[in-house]
Amino acid sequence: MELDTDVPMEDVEDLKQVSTSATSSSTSGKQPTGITSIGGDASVSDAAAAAKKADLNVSSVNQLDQWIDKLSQCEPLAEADVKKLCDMAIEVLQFEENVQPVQVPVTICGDVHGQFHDLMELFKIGGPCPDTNYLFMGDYVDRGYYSVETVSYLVCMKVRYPNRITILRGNHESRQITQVYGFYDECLRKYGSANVWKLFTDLFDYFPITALVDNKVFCLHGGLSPMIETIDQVRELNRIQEVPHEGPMCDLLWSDPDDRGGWGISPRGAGFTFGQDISEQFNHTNDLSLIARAHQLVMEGFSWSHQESVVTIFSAPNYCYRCGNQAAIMEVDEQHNRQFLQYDPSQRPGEPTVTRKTPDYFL
Amino acid sequence: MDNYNDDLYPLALLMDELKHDDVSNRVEAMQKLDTIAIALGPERTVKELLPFLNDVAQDDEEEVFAVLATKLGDFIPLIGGHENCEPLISILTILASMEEPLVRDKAIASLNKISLDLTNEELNGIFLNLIQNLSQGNWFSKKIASCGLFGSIILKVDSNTRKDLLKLYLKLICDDYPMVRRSAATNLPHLINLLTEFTETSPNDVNKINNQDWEIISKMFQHLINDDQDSVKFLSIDVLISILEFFNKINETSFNSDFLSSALKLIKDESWRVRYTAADRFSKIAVNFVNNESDLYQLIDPFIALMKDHEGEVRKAIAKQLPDFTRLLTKYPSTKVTIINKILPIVNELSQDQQEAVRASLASTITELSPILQKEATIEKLLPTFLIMLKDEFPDVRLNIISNLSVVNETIGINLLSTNLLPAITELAQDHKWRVRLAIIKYIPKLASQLGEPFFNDELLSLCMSWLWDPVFAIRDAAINNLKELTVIFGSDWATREILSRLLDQSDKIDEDKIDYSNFIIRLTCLFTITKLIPVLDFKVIVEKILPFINELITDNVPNIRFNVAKSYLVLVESFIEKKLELPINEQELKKLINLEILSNLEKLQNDEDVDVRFYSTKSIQGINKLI
Amino acid sequence: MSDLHKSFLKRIKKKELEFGLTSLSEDSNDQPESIDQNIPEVNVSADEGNILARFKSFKETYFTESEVYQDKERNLSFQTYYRAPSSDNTTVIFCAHGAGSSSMTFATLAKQITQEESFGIFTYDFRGHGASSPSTEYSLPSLVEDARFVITTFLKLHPGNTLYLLGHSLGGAVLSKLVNVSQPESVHGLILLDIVEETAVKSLTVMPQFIERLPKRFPSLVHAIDWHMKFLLHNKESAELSVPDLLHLDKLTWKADLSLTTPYWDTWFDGLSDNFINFSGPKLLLLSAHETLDKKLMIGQMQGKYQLVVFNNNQNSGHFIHEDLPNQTSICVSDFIKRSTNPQKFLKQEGVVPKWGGKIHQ
Repeated sequence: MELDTDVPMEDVEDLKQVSTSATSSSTSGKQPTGITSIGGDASVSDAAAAAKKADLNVSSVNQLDQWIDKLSQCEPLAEADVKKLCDMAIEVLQFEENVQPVQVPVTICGDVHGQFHDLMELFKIGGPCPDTNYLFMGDYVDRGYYSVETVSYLVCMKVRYPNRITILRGNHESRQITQVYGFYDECLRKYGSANVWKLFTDLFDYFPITALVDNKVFCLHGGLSPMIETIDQVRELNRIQEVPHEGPMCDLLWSDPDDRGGWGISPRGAGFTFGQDISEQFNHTNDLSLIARAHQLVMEGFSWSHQESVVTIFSAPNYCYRCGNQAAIMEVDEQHNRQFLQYDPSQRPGEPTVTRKTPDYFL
Repeated sequence: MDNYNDDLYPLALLMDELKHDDVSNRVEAMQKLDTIAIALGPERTVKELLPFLNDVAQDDEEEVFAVLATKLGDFIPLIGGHENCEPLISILTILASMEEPLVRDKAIASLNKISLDLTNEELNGIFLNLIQNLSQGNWFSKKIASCGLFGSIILKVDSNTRKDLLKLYLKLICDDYPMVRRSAATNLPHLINLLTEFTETSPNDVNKINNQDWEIISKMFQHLINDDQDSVKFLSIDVLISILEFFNKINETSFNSDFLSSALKLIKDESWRVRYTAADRFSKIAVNFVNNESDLYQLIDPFIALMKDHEGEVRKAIAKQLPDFTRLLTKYPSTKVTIINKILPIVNELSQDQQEAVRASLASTITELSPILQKEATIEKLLPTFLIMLKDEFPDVRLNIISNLSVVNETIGINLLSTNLLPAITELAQDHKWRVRLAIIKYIPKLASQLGEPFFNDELLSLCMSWLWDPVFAIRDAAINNLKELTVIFGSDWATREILSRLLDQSDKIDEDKIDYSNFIIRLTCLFTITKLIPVLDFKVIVEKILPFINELITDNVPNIRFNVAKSYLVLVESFIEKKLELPINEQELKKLINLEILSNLEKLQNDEDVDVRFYSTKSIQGINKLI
Repeated sequence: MSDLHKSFLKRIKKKELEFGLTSLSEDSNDQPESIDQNIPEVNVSADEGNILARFKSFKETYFTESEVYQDKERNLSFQTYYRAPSSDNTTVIFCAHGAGSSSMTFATLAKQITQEESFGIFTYDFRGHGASSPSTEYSLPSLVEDARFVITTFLKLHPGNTLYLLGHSLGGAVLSKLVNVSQPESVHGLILLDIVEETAVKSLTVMPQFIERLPKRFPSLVHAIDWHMKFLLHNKESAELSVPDLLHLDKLTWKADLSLTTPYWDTWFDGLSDNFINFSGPKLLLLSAHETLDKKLMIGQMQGKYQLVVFNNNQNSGHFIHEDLPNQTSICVSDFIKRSTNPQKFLKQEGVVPKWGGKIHQ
C-alpha cells in the first residue's frame, strides 16, 4: 500500500481512520510507515521518500559500525567524525516528524543523562539494538560524566538503524541548558573546544519532539500543554529551533503531571503541571491509551499517575551518582501489553567520585 | 605570530599557548612538549626550551606541572643523551619539591626513570648530590621527595657511601614531620628488597650488604614500630615483611624470635589501622615463620583475635587471609588440628557477621578451605556454612559463594555437593538480582557434566528452560549459551528430545506447557536458541526441525524477527559447509537444498519493506554465495 | 580520570570560595594573598566623600521607612528598612542577608527591582550586624526567632501585604527554617540566593582561616571597597553601597565580629535542603556559578519541585550574586513572583493564552 503523501489537508481524517483500522486488524506489521505522516509540517511530504531511499551505502555502514564499536568502549569519536556523524544524522532526522510514528514492539526509555555505563546496562536488560526496538524520550546529556559518549552512541545507532531506534528531544537537548549542567564543559574538556558542543546542539534542533506508538501511546519528554489540544496541533509546530522559553514546544519538553486537577504553573519555572482531568481529556480526544513521558526522577524507575493514564519512566539509575534511585524501561509488545524492567547501576570501576579533596597525607 | 622566524616557531607557539587563561589549554599545550622538543632538536632543547621550562615550573598550576613532570621523564633522548641531564634534573627537582603530591610523585617517577640512563659516575655525582640536598632540605616536601629517590642509587654506590645513605635515611625515618616519616617508611620496603636482591644475585660482591647495614635498618624498624603516629606505625608491617624475607633468603633464623614478638605486638596494636594492615598482610608475615613449628603456633591465637576484632574492616581483611594461613597450618600436626578445633568455629561465627562486607569477603574465600580440610571435614563442617551463606540477604555473599564452588566439587564430588546445594540453587535461580541468576547459570554446565543426564533432566532441566523466558535479556542470552553447552555435553539427540521438542513442537502440549508465541520476545528467543544450537546439532534434526521453524518466521510481522531469520540462514549454511564431509547428502544435493530452502527465502526478504531486513538478507546472500 | 577529578575539586574549591565567608584559599601551601595588598594611592578623600554621600543619600531617600523594631522581651533591637509597594500592589520582598553582611547588600538589587516593578522591599540587619543590637549568641533558633519577630512586627504595622521571603546565604537558611517551623500565613514564596546545604557545611571547615585573615581595619573606605572587590564582590556600584554599611565609618573596623559566631556554625545549615524542599509554596533557588546541588536538592530539582537558576558566569559573579548581577537577579526574582502571584496575568503578558482545560491555578 503506497500512499501519495501529498494529500490535501482535508483528507487527514479519512486517512487516520485507515491507519487506525489497519492497526486494529494488526495482522500485518507492515503498514507503510508513511501513513501517519500527514500534517502541516513542511518536511513531512519528504518523509515517505526518505523512507524509500533509506538504504545506507556500504561505506557508511562500515563507518558507522566502526564508530559504534569505538563508542561501545566508551571512547569518544574524533571531532571530524562527530562532524560527519551529525551531518548524516541531520539527513535522517530532518525527515522525521514532530510526532514520529513508531511501531510495536518497542521498549520505551527515559532520561539517561550521560551515564554511559548505565546505558550499556540498559541494553543488557532490554536486549541489544537493533534486535530490540527502542524509543528514548530525551535527556541524553548533562550531569553524568559521559554525555559525549552517550549522545554520540545514540545518534550513531539512530543513523545506522533509523527504523529500530527513535530519539526524542528532552529539555536538556538545548544550547542554554547544556551550558549550565555539564555537556558544554565536558565537550570543552574532551575536545579542547566548543565545536563538538556546537555540532550536537545544532543537531538537537532536528530531534523529533514526540512519538506516537501504534497510534495509542503518546511519548514525549515532559508533558502536555494548554496550547496543544490535539496531536495534530503538535504536527503544526515548527520544531527546528532552540527549545523556547515558553509556548507549546517548551511545554511538551518541560511539563509535569500533578495530583491537583487542571493546569497549574510549574514550580520549575517552565512548562505547566497538568491534572488527571487534563490527561484523561487529552487521551480521549486523541484516542490514546497512555501518555508515556520522562523528565522527573522517580525512585522506582517508573511511576504511574492519573489512574494509569500517564506513566513516568526514568532510566538513569542512582542519578548523578548520588540519588539512590532505581531505573526502569517499559516494554510494549505487539498486543500492547506493557512490562516494566527495573535495574540498578551497572557494575563498573569507580566513577570519579563527587567527594572533596582527599587529604594529602593519609594512608 | 608571523614575526617569529620558523625555527623559533614551535617554542613561540608553546609559550603562547602556555599563556592561555584556561588551564585545560595550558595542559594540552604541555602534552605536546615532546613534539616541540623533537622539532627544536637536542641542542636548542637544552639551550632554549629547558630554561623556559625551568621558569614555567615555578609559575603555573598543578595540572600543568603534573604533565610537565611526566613528560620530562622521557626527555633524555630529546636532549641528546644523559650527558646533558643536569638542567633536566634541576627542573624535575623543583617539581619534586612541591607540596602537591600529584606533581611530586610524577616528578620522582621521572627522576627515577632518568636515573636508569645515567652512568655510575653521574649517579654518584649529580644524583647523589641531589638526594643529599633534598634529604637535608629546609622544607618537608623536599625530604619527602628524597625518600622516593634512594632506590635509584642504593646499589650503585660503594659500601661506605651506602652506609652514609642509610644513615641519612634513618634521619628521615626519625624526622619531626610525620609526613616525612610516612614517606620514608613507605619507601623503605623497596630499599630493603633491593638489598635482598643484591645479596642473592651477588653474594660475594666486595660491596655486599654487611651487618652494619643491617644494624641501621634494624634501628629504622625499631623507630617505626614505636612511632607515636598510627599513620606511620602501620607502614612498619611492610618493612617487617621485607626484613623477614631477607633473612629467610639468607637462611638466617637467629633473629626470628625478636621479629615474631614485633609482629605479635603489631597484630595486637591499639590502632585499628595497624591491626587492619597486619590482618591484610597476615599470610605474608606468617609464611616467614613456617619453618618453625612453635613460631607458627604462636600466630594462631592472634589470627583468631583478628577474626574477632571489633572493627569490621579488620575482620573483612583477615577473612581474605583464611585459605593462605590455614594452608600453612597443615604443615605440622599440632597446627593442623587447630584448623578444625579453633579456627572453623570462628569461621562459622564470621559467616553470620553483622556486617555484610565481612560476610561477602568471607564468602569469596571460604570455599577454598575445602581442599585444605578435605572431603569429610568439608561435608561435615563447611557445607552447612555454605548453605547458610547461600541464603544470605546480601546478594554479594550469595554471588561469591556460587562463583567459587568449583573447588568444592573437586574435593567432595559434584554429587554430594549438588544434592546438598540443589535446593539452594533452585532458590537462587529465581533471585531478584539478575547477576545472581547469571552466576548460577554459568555454573550449570559444570554441574551437568558431573551429574549425568538422567539426574540433570530430573532436577535441573526445567530450570534451564525457564531462564529462556526471563524478563532480563542478559539472562535469556546466558540461558541460550547454557543450552548450547549442555548440548555439547549431552549430545544432539538429547537436545532434540529435551530442548527442541519443548520449543518447537507445540501440538502435543497441554495448555500450561504451551509457549506463547504471540509475544515477539519469545519468538525471537526461540529463534536465537535454535540458531545457537545449529553448530552442535545433527544435520537431520536441522533439516527436519530447525529449517521449517525458521522458514515459517520469514513472514513474521515483526521486522526484527525477519532480519534475524536472515542472519540465521547464514549460520545454517556456514554450519553445513563446515561439516560438508560428514553430511549424509552429497554436494549437489546440498546446493539444491541451500538454493531451494534458503536462498529463495532470502531473496524474498531482500525485497522486504524494512531496510534492516533488506540489509541483513543481502549480507547473508553474499555470505552464502562466498561459501558455496 | 585524574584531570576530571581535579577539575571537579577545583569546582568545589571555587564553590567553597564563593560561600560568603570563605577562605581565600583552603590549601596551606597556596600562599595566602596578602591582605594588606598595595593599593595604589589615589585621591582617597575626594573619592570617599562622593561614595559616602551617595551611600547616605541612598539609605535615607530610597527607603520610605527605616525603623528600629524593639523586641522588649528579649531585649533586642533590629534596624529595618522598608520601601512600600506602589498602591496597586501588595507584594513585599522580605530580604535576609548572610553572615557578616548587612541590609545594604540588597541595595542595588532593590533599586533594580523597584525600577521595573511595583513590589515593596523590606530588609533588616541581623543581630550583631549593621545597626541592630550586638550579640554573642548566634544559634540558628535564635536567628529564626529574630526573623519571626521582625516579620510579625512588620505585618502588624503593615497588614494586608503578601510576603516573598528572599534569603542570601545564612539568611536563606534562617528563612527556610522559619517556614519549616511554622509558616506565617501571608508568606507566599521562598527565594534562596546561592546557598546549598552540603556546600555550605563543607565550607565551614575553611572559615576559621578566612576569619583569621580578615583585615582588622582598613586604611580608608576606598581600600575597604577595593578589598571587597578583590575577594568577594564583582560590581563596584553595588560595593560602594554595601561596603560602607559593614564598617564603623569612623574607625573603619568591622561592625560584625564573625569570630563570635564560630560556636554556632554547626547549627546554621543543618536541614536546610529539607526545609527548602518541604516548603509548600513556590520556591526559587539561584546559584552563582556551577550547580553543586546536594542529594536532596538534586532529587527535588529532578522531580520538578522548585525552580533552579544557575548564573553560569564565573567571571562576573561570585557568592553575592544579587550584588554582582543585580539586573539578572532582579529579572529572575520578579518573573518568579509575578508568575507565582497571578499566573493567568503573567502568562497573558508573555503572550500565552491557554486553549483548553480551563484556568491556570497557582
